Amino acid sequence: MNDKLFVIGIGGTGMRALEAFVHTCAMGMYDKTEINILALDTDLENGNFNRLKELVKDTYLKVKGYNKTHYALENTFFSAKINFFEFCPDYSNIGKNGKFTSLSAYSYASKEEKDLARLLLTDNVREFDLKHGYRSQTHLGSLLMYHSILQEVKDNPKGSLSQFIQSIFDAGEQQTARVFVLGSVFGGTGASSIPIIPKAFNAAMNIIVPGKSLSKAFFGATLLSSYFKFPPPDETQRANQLVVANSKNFALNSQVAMMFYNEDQTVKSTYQKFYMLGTPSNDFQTKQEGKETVTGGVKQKNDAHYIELLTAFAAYDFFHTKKAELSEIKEDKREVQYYFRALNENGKLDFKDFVHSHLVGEFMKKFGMLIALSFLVYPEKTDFFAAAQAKTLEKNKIIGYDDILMEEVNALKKYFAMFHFALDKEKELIDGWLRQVYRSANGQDNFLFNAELFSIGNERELNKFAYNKQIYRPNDEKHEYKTGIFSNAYDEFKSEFIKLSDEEGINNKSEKLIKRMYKTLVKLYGFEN
Amino acid sequence: MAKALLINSSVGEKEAVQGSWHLFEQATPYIQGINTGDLVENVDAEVLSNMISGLPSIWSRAKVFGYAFKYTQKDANIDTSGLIKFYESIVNEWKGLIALLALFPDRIVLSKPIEFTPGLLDSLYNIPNAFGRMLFEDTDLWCDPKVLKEQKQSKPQIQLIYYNNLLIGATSPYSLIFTGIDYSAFTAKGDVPWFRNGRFDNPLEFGNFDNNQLQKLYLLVNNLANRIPEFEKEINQNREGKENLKLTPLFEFVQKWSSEIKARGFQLVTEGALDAELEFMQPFTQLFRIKQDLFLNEGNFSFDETNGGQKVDLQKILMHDDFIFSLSQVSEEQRLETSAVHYMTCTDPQNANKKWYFPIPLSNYGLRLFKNRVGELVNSSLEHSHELRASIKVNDFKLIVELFLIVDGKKQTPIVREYEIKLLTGVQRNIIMWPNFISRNWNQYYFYNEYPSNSRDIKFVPFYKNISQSNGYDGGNYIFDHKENLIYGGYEGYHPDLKIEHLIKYPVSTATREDHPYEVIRSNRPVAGLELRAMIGGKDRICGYLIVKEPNDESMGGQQIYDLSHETNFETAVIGIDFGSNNSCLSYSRTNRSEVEPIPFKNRRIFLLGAEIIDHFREKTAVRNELLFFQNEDTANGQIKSWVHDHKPQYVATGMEQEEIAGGVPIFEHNLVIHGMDNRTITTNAGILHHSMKWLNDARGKEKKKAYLKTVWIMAVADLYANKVLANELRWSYPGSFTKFDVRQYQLMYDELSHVPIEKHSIKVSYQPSTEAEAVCNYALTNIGLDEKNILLGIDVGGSTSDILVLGMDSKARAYKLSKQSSLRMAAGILSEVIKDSNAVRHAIYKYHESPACPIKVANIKDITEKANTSPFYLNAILDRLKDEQFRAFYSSLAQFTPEVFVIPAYITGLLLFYSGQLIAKAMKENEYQNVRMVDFLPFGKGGRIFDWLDVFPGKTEARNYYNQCFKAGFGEGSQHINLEKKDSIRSDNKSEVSKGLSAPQEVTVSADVRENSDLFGENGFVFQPQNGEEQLLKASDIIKIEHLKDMKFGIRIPDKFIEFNKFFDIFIRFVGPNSTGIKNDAAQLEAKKAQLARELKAFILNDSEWQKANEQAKTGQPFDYKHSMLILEGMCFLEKFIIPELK
Repeated sequence: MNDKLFVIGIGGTGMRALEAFVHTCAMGMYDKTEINILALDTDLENGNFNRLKELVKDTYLKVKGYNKTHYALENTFFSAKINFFEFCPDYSNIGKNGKFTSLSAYSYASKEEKDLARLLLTDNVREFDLKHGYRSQTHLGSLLMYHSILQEVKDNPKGSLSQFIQSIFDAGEQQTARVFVLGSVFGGTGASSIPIIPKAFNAAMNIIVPGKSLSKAFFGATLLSSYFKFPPPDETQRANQLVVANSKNFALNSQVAMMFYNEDQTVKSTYQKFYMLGTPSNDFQTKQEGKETVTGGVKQKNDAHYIELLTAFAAYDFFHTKKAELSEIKEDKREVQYYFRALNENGKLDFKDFVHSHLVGEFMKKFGMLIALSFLVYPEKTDFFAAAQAKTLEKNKIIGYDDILMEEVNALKKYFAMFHFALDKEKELIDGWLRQVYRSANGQDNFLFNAELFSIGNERELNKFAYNKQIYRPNDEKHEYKTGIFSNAYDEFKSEFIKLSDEEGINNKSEKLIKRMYKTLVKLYGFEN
Repeated sequence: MAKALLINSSVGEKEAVQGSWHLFEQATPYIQGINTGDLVENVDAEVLSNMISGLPSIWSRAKVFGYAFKYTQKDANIDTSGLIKFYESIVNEWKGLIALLALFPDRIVLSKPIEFTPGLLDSLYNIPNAFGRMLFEDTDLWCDPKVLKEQKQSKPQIQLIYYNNLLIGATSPYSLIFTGIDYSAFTAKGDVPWFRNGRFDNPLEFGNFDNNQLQKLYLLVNNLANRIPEFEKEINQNREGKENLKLTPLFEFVQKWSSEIKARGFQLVTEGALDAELEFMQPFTQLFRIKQDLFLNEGNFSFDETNGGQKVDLQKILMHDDFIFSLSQVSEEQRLETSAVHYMTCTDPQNANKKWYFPIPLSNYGLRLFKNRVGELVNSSLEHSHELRASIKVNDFKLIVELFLIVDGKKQTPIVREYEIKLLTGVQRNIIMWPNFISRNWNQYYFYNEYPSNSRDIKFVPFYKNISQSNGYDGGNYIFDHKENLIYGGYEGYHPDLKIEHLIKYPVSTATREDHPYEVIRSNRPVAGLELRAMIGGKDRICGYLIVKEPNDESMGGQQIYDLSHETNFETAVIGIDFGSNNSCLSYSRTNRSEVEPIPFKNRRIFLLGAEIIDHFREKTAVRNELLFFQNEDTANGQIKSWVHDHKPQYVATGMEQEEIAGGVPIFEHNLVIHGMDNRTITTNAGILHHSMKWLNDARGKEKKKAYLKTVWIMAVADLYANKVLANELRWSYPGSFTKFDVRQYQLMYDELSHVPIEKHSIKVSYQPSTEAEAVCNYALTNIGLDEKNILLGIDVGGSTSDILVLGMDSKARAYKLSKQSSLRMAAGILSEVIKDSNAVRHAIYKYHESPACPIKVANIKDITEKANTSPFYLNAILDRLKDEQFRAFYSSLAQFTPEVFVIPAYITGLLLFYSGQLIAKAMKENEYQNVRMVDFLPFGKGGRIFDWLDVFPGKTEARNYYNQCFKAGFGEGSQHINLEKKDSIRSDNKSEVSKGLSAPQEVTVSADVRENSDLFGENGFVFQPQNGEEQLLKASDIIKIEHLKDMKFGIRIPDKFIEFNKFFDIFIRFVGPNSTGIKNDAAQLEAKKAQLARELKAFILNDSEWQKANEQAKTGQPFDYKHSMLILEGMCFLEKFIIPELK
């Protein structure tokens, strides 16, 4: 793919959507592609934000080579080259507690100016602490995010955000710049920012290089309506924090936002594609501890949801839309197009629910193989990657990987802990992203893969699990491999691995090993390479 | 087919094939049907807030109002449990705001347009600029489209809407107007029942509107329905390829609502106006400008332009500001209905017997329309008259004003405005105008205002009417400048016909709380009314008008204002002014008539606010307005006090120090609060009062005199004018003892009075003034007959001078001849000085006042016993008011308690008559009055009563004998053939003699020689030693000359004995001594002092203030101009040095 892709995740939901997106990159859905990812949040301490940063910076990027040049590859895991950017307006440094009133120098404003603010913002909204984001106050949030972007590029012309925007401009000049925005329309930061991102980036570009704009870039976004809930705030919390988001209003917020997107000429003319997503009910309870509503911070680490994976594939669709189609929308129709998907009424999610029919096989293969790889990396006993690096597989004639850096070994292990599972001290399984997504689809065999895959509860069960046969659903096309009487799946893998050779042209040993493992798995599971 | 992965909507589950992204169409009904649960079944503040906060634009509030009209027009099948409920409430809120604008436009204030400058990035979070930046593609919709079309730099803008200072909404292209996010502080106490649960609701459902209210709402909504298409077109003209903003849903909604309102009302029409103009900026102006053109022609309103006339803006007629003051009735005797100004009245809703009074809440524009018919508006209840009605809303303490106009003969739906009632704090003060008439030919009007026009608090600012254009209906039009703004007293504005001058200006920047707030303004046009202004909320606001009633308005009863413009056949007259030290008098005589009449000094004050002091028994203490403005006391016989009350210097407008009223106010009041007194001033509660000014020649003294004379003069001229008499000559007089310099100074002063405030009329001022003696002489001849056997002796005793005249019949010349006249500075004022020093006398006066014999009451007179220096004031306060026989009781009372005080009248009268004897003796010799056997003695002036004291004690016979002895002793040889007879017959004109003599036809022949050479030296034995000349032994009968007294050191030698004085003194001492009247039991002791007089005399003369004045003048090169009978100087010296001290 020649186009430069730009993905922006905004707010808590945006972070989780980016997580899903990064996992699709890890699956290898973006071969030979360079992707610029911008994580944009208002809450530096947000758990989802940190989890994403961990995922990208501590795993993906390190797996691609620790302190090494990264390249976009194909037919392997972690094929896409990711450039990671982040931006988080820091309201704690502005005035007293980072309120709107201190930000806008309200007390110095004229009566008319104050009245203008009072016309549109309640007392509480003007006064709440912005440290944990915009708390569903998207009317204020949109204004603040827009201006914080402008402020950042003014103050920090060489900063991460400026570079990201400059990259969009450069991409537009060279080929095609596609920007996809991930976030929800019912929450705070994401809902506030989606409408203004194209306008804000355009204005920011004009500040970075006066007279320049992002007029050549295409913009798409998800319009993600409510799909989860959390405990409502109590009165004490309301009184203390002035404004607290309440998930009971998410449906209402979604409706209001949808209306806005349906009516607002600015949004309609700056985006080309909107992908509408939501669940018929928002009874998915995030797995958070405690009764208190979490407005943000480290505690806000909501579980992943399959709908976030759908947003990642919305981005995929946008990135694979023909340029002519996007140009037609932008130049001729001059109005954004809305899209939606449909699911089987029985609640079962199939691969075709995420990707176009011609990509179902590819998706099935890459997602399944990444899961298979997790069994070959995370468990100590079957950590092939670490063993290869540690030269403990020399007896198996698996050599030449000892110069893989330990950071890369650890990064890959950590990746799979985040992607699939980890073990706690009691050797109980901790759910990674995949298992959370599975749960969001109401368990059983509702989510793409074999329900047995998700039944593992501890190390003992893990060790017993036959990942050579039990990844895909029984009714799906058979993709498995057999083991001998005295061998196991791991041994079979090693045997098969030896039969293949390293890819030429890849200098990074870590990536070289991963690609060879990829090819081994593809072959073992009976996929076409 | 599979189910869409979308949020749940009641519209139904969208279906599509799995495996691809499908284009989403028909979004609107789907969104309408999104299931949000029961959140908005009961829309509470949190839900409302969430609705707004969920919309990701700072302009969410404005946007939802725009969306509301579209999303509430839905398919009936859609279950709208969520957002649409919210939008329905938004639509009701919008309706509620529209109803508020329609019914209470007077309470609505629109901010100036607030401009946004999105491109200005210096201060990113500046509120309007940051907000403006977020308009993005809609920016052009928020600009003034016409300006934007011409100037691409036009900025987006918004206007905030306030209701009684509470921010309630703003303008928006999406929905024309919208409410703010929180206006829960809105309070209307029942006026706006559609304000419920912290926001507006459907006004038709909750408003309880009457037909008038429905009519007004219909006018506005119908206008919106008519104008929205045009508005839509206008705001979309600068879209430059962007999609137009469609207002079709709003338009359709408004059309429907308009029909609904019409159906609800009765005979609602599309013609009419709201109660006030809603001053929306462009392009909203026409949407909210609800007014019907009216045309005013000769007082009649018509909708039909073809009838001609002035175009009228109904919404500008009533007062624009929101406050009105309630004014109180301060006197039951002077009901406000009979006041000089029109009030708007209404009955207290809780007490039918109580009335409220308010200024008239018209605007400047309204005044211009109704002119001199404003009074009809507030006093009419006729079916076919324009009418201004008022009622009070008790709970809100507000005044509801309804203006009913008759248009094309039919009474219209009223224009209604509401005003917050304010109360004047503290005691209500006074506003007075003077005089009580107007005339196109009279061009001097005065205005006293205790709510000065430059006050920082409440002020009543006068404006004027141009009666010179008086003609039919247009008569009495208020005076506006070329921009049609009223011209106010002392303020900006110019009109060639109007001259306004501040005489007294309230020193607002330096005044303390103790300083009395007031101003006095002089104008050449009469005051038409007062604009009440008050500083409220840091802003000067107009709070109504008091309109002066038209002339001859019978509601004022006996206090009407008269218009003398059309009076004809004025008579002319001469006015005589006698300016005395303590008292003055003005009289006039009509041309070709012999009668002399006193100037009445009628009270011509008209109260525009407050009430006149009613004091039938003249016992109330004078209040400030009686000391600082024209007097309200009518006087008897044209007599007034020679007192002038100062304003504090900082109050007197620059350059006005010598002007009437400004330089000082003549005071006729007797009852003053006196703090202290000296020989020139009295300190009152309101300032300094000057007395005894007659001889003052310093600059300040002249200022005071000039201000005094100018004021009494304008009062006199006004008195005459009101009686159809034009003063055409002023005559004045002076004491013979005045120096030539003094006379010239007075001449200059009187010359200034030649200008009178009457169009094309001026006064002739006598250039050859009379001496007071001559004037009295002329007066005397109007009362007394003379023949060759008698001669007339007049002694006019004033406060500081006594003027003696001798009048005989010149048979040869067939005329009465003034043979001698002499002016002496021994006068009644001495009596005051004596009383001041005598504790016994002061107590005696007080006892008299407290006794039943005293017919008058003088306020605070007890002070006379404690504050010696106030005694002259209180003595005069009594003497000025006693009449004829009442004096006897007073003298009698004094004789009873302090008989020794009678020494003084005995001494003064005796010496004056002794000297008169000398004069008459010489006159008879010179004029060969050989047959004269009787001297008719007439005491004149207030002080002339000093000759009456002895009639009471020791008695008439004793007095007669004493006077004859003194006179004869002075007369000398041949006196046995001649008798003196005191005449009391003309005492009723006491003090008016000079002025009457001046104004009366002149019958007496006066010669300059008599004027210059009458005063006698009066004493023998003095040796005059002229420089480079021979010594001359002076005789008593010699004419005294200036040079005799010029050089007191070397020019005159004083004898050891004063033969003539001793002659008198012997008679006097016998009379008062124990062997006679017993007035002075230790007369011998006094007699012993006689020998000491020679030693004291020179020093006495050298210390005489008039001698010193002449000496000072001489030093500057002016002539030494002092002369005085030596005999009287001896008498005055003895009195001061030996007699008065004995009385202490």
